[in-house]
Amino acid sequence: MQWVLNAIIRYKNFLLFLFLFNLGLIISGKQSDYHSSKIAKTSLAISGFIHQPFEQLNSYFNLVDENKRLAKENNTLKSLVLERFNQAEVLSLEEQNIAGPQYYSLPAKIIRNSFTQSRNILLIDKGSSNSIAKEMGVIGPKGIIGIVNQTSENYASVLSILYRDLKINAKFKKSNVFGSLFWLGENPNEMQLADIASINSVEVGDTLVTGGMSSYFPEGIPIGTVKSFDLPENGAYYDINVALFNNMTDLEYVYVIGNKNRREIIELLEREP
Amino acid sequence: MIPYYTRFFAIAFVLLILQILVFDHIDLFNFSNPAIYLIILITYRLDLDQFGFIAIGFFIGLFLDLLTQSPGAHSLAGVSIAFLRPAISRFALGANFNQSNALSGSTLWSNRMLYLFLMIVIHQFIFSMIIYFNMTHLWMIAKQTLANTLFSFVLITATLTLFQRKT
Repeated sequence: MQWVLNAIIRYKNFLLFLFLFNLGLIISGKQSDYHSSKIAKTSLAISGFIHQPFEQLNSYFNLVDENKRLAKENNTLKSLVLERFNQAEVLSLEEQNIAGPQYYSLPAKIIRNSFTQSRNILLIDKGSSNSIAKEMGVIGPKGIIGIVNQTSENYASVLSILYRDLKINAKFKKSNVFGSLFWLGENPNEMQLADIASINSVEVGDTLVTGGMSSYFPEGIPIGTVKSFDLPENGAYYDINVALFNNMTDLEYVYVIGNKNRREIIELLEREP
Repeated sequence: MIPYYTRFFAIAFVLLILQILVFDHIDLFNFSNPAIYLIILITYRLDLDQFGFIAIGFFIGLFLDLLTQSPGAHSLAGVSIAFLRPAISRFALGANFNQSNALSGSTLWSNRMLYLFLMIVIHQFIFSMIIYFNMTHLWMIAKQTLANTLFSFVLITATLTLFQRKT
């Protein structure tokens, strides 16, 4: 203990300098949005640089499990392709073009996962140089993961769906009834669904998917199933607990979803009085 | 005899007010302003404890930041120059670097000028770096550092000479 005190006394000038310099940077971020964004970008780049080697080592030891998971995912994707192929035979060319590929996906790897905080942020190994931009949706092999928050050249930070202030538009797969999905900050495998009126029927095991009402995610991306629900006495809305499909504590590869029409949608919304 | 710190803070207050009301509005070549308040940090006695000086450097900068709406540049440059001052004075003033009279008659004029110049140029470089906060503006940073340094150097040297003669 004595040597710690000695070290503090010996380097007190340097420690004070570091403390005040950091305080200055915080003030800088508070005073100017430009500086705040620059500081966030720099810390993101440093954080990515530090975490990537550890994550690479970790992923090397998980290769066997990861291969099995990828094979399973490939299988699912292949069946989806076949399904689409069968549909294409039925639809005419014009009908196929109407839908158009509005969304596209970019693969990325998580280099830092977080699920123990009330506001969790993930780090992925792709950044603005890989066409990743702010507010793109991020999905995993089994469902939604989060929304891109900030990008540097080679990395991006992602607001996890386990982020207390984040609300995601979700709907029941069976009935198209919409609600807001949010996290209470407790169990990383469970989220809450609100705004579902009591006139709708809800059952344990019902599947929830993205609603497509926001430009972050396309419609129909899986989220989870109803684990339990409650209708408060004289209440107009259900309290629904949702079990997530994705295991948010064990994520490695994700896909960043881009919306080609996003700018147009935002411009249109901004123009509204 | 007025205690050192009373005189120091009185001078500091006057210089900071002058900086905000007068020198920040000169805008030479449309982008250069002298940092006359640096006299406070340059003339602070070299034999006093550096711990307090680092805090003074920061709070003087913070005072300016709050009154000029600057994004923390004065605080960061102030605390940095206060931290670096022992190294600068050791390099520029040689053996006298921690003597109370190192900035008056006991040191060569050229050494004092070197100390003055280094204090100003390093402070202005850090200040401009934080203002632009982007290495792609390196040319602008260099241009502003150079212009501010020369402008500040002339004014600070003149002010110090003037007041030294009077006392």
